[in-house]
Amino acid sequence: MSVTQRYGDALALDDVSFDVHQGEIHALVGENGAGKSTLIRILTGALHPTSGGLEMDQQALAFSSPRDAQAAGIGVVHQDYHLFPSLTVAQNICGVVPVESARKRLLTDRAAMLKTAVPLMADLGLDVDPHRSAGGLDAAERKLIEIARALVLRPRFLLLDEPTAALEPAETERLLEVISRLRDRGTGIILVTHRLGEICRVADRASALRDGRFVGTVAKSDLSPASLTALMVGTEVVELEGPQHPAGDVTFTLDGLTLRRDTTPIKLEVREREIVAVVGLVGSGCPAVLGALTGATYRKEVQLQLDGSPVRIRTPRDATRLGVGSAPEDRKRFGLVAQQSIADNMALGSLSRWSRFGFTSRRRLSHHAALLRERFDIRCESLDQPVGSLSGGNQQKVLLARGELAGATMFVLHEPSQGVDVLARRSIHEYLLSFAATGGKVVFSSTDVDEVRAIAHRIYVLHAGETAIVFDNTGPSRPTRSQLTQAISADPRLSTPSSNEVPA
Amino acid sequence: MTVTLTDQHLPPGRKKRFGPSFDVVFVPGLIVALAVTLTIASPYFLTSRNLGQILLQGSVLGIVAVGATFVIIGGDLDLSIGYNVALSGVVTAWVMSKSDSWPLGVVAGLAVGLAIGVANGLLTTTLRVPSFVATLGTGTIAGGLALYLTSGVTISGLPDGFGALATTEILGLQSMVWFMLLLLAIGGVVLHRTNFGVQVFATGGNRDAAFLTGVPVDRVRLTNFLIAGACGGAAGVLLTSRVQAGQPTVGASLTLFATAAVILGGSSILGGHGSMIRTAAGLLLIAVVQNGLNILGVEYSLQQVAIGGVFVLAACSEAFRPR
Repeated sequence: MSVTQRYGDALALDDVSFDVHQGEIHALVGENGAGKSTLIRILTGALHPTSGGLEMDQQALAFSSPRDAQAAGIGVVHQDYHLFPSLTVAQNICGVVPVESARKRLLTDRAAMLKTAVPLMADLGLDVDPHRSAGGLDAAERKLIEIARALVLRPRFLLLDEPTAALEPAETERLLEVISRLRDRGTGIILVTHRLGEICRVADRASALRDGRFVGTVAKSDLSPASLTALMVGTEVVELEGPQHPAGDVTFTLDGLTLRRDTTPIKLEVREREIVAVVGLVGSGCPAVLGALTGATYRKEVQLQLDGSPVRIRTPRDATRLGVGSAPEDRKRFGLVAQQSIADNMALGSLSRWSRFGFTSRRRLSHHAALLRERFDIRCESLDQPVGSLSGGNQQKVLLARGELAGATMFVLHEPSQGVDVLARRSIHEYLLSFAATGGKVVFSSTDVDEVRAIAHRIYVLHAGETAIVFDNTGPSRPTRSQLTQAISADPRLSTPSSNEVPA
Repeated sequence: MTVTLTDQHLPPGRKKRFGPSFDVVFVPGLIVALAVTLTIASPYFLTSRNLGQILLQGSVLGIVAVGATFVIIGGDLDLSIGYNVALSGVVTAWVMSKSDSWPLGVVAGLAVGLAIGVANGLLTTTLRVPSFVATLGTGTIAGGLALYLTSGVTISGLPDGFGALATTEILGLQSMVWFMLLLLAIGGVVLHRTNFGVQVFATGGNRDAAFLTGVPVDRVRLTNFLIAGACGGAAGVLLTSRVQAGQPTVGASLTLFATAAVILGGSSILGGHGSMIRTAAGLLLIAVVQNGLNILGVEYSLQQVAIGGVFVLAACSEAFRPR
């Protein structure tokens, strides 16, 4: 295939061409904004290329809608979840887009539906009742349902966009096995992911996009995180090695957070100039800790102390007043007003600063917004463009800029670099370190252990609503990557502690 | 951030409850409570004659609500549906009074209903007008046309045979009631037992996701509006048959009550969630309230106040959830 896509004057894809064989896993990598999403939209029929086109078996393909792409044998599992919670699992798999034979029937043949869905579910290792509603299933189960739905139509090519983004390590493992199995049966798989480790394990080839251009394909023998990163960004990026400045005295404490009966309440201390990571599996309680700090989830039993005096954070507004800047995990839903401009989104937490008698001063706002754009290196055409048109990394920077504008003294961040490319991730890390070094506090949660090790002073590991262990990430006792991973996936209190672990 | 409430996220001392969820039993419970109260208040309530009367009074609303259910679960709104009943009923009467042929009138009435459905469907899909706006426009046009055709006077003097369409008694119930029950049943089967029905839920639940998944979203929405238009046309024809005259003024209240019946039953105004049984429950509640107030001699304007109250009450049912 070879395509070019323009948005107005902007060239989103510049004569990108690459090929996929059946029976291979072809990974597609690129930073945010490199053109992956655009390419996916073209491949799946959601977007027409400005010029160029797709070819399958030497035949040109022209899709006018996702249905055409399906009919041509291209299945897709999108990054966002596309499930319908009030329909049953079986209906989600083979009712929404019925197969040819089912389309002719007047009434749905439920038995036939189950006959299709159940073996497919078993094959994917999806162990749920096909009659239950799809609402309330966990991330991995929902992802598998979407894969099953794509497979019902027996696609020759399957495009998976960040399939493991929301999954736990064990679930990721299972999913990668499923993908490999599909490949072995002859399906051509296009795997789009930021997780380079996964690519190196399962992919047969990997192609990279950079700034809308195709920059090359790596063969299996040459696949490594370093080679892929080099291809994606042109240079190698090395992780930071923890904060280099010392933290001060404890100035903020959270105490009494009780998530389950008969557990020791969670107590969190944050020092002056300190970056604290709160990590744990789904269900361990990390969102509750962060939610208590941002006011997103108020809990009566929680006691907070700032500079020695008790404070209450019942609503996000309370948090903002106390100088808490935050960035939620789902930026598009809970963080940004997608249609509004970058500048307006930045100003959202500090409107009173830009307004007199309720009228916003555009001039002052755009002056400050321009400074922040510079400082955070936000890549955009103009500060007036809608924030929804930015890549994930740039959106995250807008959220940090919002906190900065509001005069935040503490940042509370869920997954600061989820869906963020390597370079933007690095610049976010550097910003947080400098924010802390100059007197700010940061509390964040992340499923990315490299990120946690790169910037945190201390790491709280939670298990089932309790603090299992607190690691000191500075100096000689810094936990290794595998120690940290192990502590997160298995409660260290249940095993014998090793010499490197600092008791909670 | 997705908030998923599992046991572990609940504060201590709260356990997950089992059994049917609260919103499933709320409306039926309210109906039973009302029925018991009315039985005690008036000996007339629990007579077969009155129960038949309840169904008869609710039948036009019921037929309209079947169409509204499709549109609402599909994620749209049809504010034209009551005016559709008015116009198709008036056209039925008008054609009959000119031609003296009642089948011709019936066909004309149904055609008007379908035409409004087509207009709504094309406006919302091809021209991408939000359904709220599009149907508000077409409904206003239809309501105005109905008044114009009748010059505000009801058209009467319809062919004799036509009245039988709605009023023939079968097994103790008028045919009008049977039409409603039949349409509710067919609607339920189509919504819950066909591929199309699944696609209606998908479209209403998440339109973008449905489109990217390969659901013919525009076709589904257009079909929903056609169903609603056809139901409106049928209701108009039957209403004219029952009262033996075109009724130009039924529009506004029918639209609101039909939407209310769907939402009262517990279907989501945002689409993607609901059922035909829920609509039937919502209808029954409205019909019982109206009937009860009639029996108790409450005047019509106050009845509307009471039904508004019940609507608000049911909409807040989440707040009364026992804890």
